[in-house]
Amino acid sequence: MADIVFDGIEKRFGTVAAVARFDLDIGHGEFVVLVGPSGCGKTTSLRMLAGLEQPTAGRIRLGPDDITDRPPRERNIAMVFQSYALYPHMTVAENIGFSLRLKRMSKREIAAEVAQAAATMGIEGLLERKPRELSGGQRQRVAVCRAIVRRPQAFLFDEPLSNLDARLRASARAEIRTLQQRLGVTAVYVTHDQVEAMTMADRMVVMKDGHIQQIGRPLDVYAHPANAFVAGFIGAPAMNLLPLARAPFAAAGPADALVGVRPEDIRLDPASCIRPQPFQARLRHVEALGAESLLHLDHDGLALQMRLPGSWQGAELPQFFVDAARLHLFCGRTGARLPASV
Amino acid sequence: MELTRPWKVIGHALLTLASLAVLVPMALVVLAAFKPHNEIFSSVPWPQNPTWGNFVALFRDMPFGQYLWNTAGTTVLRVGGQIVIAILTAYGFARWQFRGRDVAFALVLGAMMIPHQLTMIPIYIMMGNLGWFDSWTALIVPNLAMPFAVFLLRQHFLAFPPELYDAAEMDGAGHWRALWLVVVPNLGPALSALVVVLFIDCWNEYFWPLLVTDSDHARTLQVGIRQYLQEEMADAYGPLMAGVTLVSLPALAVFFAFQRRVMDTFVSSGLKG
Amino acid sequence: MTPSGRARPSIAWAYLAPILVLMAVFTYWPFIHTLYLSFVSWNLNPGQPTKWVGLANYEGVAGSPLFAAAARNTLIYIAAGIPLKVLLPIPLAVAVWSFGAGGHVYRTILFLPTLLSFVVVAVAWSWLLSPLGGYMQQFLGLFGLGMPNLLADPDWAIWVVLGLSSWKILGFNMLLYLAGLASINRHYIEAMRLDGAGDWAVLRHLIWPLLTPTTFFVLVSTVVFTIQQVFTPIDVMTQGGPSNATTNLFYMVYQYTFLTFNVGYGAAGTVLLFVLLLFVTLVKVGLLDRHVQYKQ
Repeated sequence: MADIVFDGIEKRFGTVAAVARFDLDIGHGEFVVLVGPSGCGKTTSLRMLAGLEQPTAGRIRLGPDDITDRPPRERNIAMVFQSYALYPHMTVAENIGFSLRLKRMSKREIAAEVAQAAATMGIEGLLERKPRELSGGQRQRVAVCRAIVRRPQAFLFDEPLSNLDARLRASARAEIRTLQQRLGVTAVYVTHDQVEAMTMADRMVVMKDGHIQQIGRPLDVYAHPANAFVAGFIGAPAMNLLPLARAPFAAAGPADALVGVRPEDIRLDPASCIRPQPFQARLRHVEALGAESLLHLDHDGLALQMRLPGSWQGAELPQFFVDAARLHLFCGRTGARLPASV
Repeated sequence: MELTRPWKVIGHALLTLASLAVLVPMALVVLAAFKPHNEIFSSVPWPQNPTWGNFVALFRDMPFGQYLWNTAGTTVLRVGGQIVIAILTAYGFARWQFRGRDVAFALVLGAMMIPHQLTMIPIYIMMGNLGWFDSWTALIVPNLAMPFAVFLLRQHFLAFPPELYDAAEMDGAGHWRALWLVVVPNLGPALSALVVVLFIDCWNEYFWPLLVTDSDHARTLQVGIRQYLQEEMADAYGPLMAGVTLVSLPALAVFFAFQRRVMDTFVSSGLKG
Repeated sequence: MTPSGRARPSIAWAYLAPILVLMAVFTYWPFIHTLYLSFVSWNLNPGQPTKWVGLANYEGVAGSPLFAAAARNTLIYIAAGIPLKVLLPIPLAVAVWSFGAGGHVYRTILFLPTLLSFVVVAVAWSWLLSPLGGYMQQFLGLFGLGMPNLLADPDWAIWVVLGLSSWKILGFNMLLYLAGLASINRHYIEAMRLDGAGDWAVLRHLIWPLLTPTTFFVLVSTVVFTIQQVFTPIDVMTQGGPSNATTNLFYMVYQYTFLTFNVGYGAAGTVLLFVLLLFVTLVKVGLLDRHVQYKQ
């Protein structure tokens, strides 16, 4: 059963459509990630679900209720903000318990709820501190704690990891996902980082310029991007996208089409391809990352990237192969995926 | 900047002279407050027979206690009102974008161009018509709108992270509770410095109370002391010095409690007010 | 993202309502009412009807000896105050600034008069300057100098009021200069030092030019202060006398309206005062804009 439904949601600021025709059903307990470059409308969509913005058109439902016209406090939704938005003048315990205090819960009940939530996040030792005395990682845990203490019907996350350093971010990803699964609460998560989208989402929604580009499970989106934008946005390094007419390898499609190939689908060993197709390119530069290597190739002024497991032990004039079974074709005008591609 | 020695000496000499010009008269006044009547023009600056008599005379010869009560009461109520109104106004301007906002803000700031002196005649008449003349109300109500305070607080409100408004709203606080439970507690020292500046401003005010009070019922300290000077002239310099010492103490005390911040706020009031 | 929140923006008007009502009643309406009163003849007696007299009040005020004295004195208060109020604080501020933390004590001491009321200052100085043996008389006596009764002497009284208002505002203006100095980037100074500049060169070619906008600003705000605030020492010490030697435009308005009950003249004087203040304030706003840009 759908837990959250966006039905034809639209948000205009003046004449600019920040979000256009947004339709999405989110199942109970599902973890959905809205991903896209900045200004794509993902945060606005989240804020409309939170009640912080009013949609220009369309309805939002939460469970059986139409919540479109309700203020945030009547929605039973909790949110973790990018800056964490902890109240600077309150201790950690007061921050966590603020929503309960506003509900006029008794002091003792609040203390118990706060203690339990703090234990869940492992921050019992921080309760008497002020936010400015915490590290970035600790603040992030407090912000999550403030969300779970309310036992909401849904969690919203607005880029909650973008202020953390790379190592903390990786562990926080796993932690948030585990917590959400344990609590079984529906979550909507906004990020511009496709790695977060790939690793955390049950389903992801790729957005651009206010429009949904594709909705799907991460691996499906990765394997079958709906258009050239999604193909370029999801996956790092990005998929190589070349005009078919100038590409070093052949594919069946209209002359103005774009052909795409993921860096890992360019190989040195034809045996590892389903339908190997040799092509000419010059090796310009190698980035050795240890477990893998990135090779920058050049064909007639067109740059290509290739990903190779292990380190490059290279021949001087290597022969490259593309797996023709893994090529993607996109319309040259609309960018839409063409049926000719796999 | 490090100056070389001769410049340093000149600098210290100048500042010492200026400091003496400030401190010596103040010290003479405070010392005179403890001098008996026959020593008031003595060439010895300190009292040879120190006495509390001047302070006693102050409370005996004029309703000093009543004036103190009027001054303290109207100052507290007026500053409280000014602060609350300025907070509401600054919040209204800083939190929402709405049609007419710029016009309204220009009206508020424009009021700084119209000081009391330009409106005193009609307000004086108004006080009479309303029956407020010679009352606390007349001292308080016409002075509640404080454009400078609005301006200063708005700066702080604009610097307030908007996500905190959102977080408060998600936690269930509407705009009213968000203001008092989240925004105001975070103003901290800025607010206390503003309170001190408004307090000193009101405590030291002379012109308006002179105009709208004419009995002990509402008369304030500043007006009372001036009147005492006029009535007693030279005969009462001892009690007068006691009086000016006492009157100045509260302003000096609050200043020293919040020194640095208050000076900065005074400066910005000078920049805008 | 704008902090729009969900509440309709029109809720903001509820927050603005108190101040807008207060200002309408106690600022804008009285201001318009003053304009009206400047065209009528009235004696402040509620039972007395007002009589429209057109520009007669303006003509009357402009032709009166009180106005001539008040205008002349206002000019003296402004012009003669410049050396003590506007220029003297500059070397003091530069010295305090150059001492860094060591200058804080001076700064605090010089700021003290700002905290005192003008009534306190005027009462204290009238004792210190008393012709009956005040300390100033005794001090001058040490050098064999006599002292006239300053406040009773038309030639001296205005200088007493002026000196006292300078004493009160000196530290405040110094603080304004310190704010200007604080915005000077110390890298400039270090760069000049590396180029071999001595103290005087730095003061003359770097600090003085960078302080010029602040100086203009202090000048203008001191003019506003002088027009508005000198009322109190005048009223406490001289009531405008002797023979109008210390009155200023603002005190003149007070005299017309509340001492001789000539409301029309008072209102006309108020309007003239407003024009003067408006002019000065516009200059000040212009300077402030430039001042701010300069800092960035």
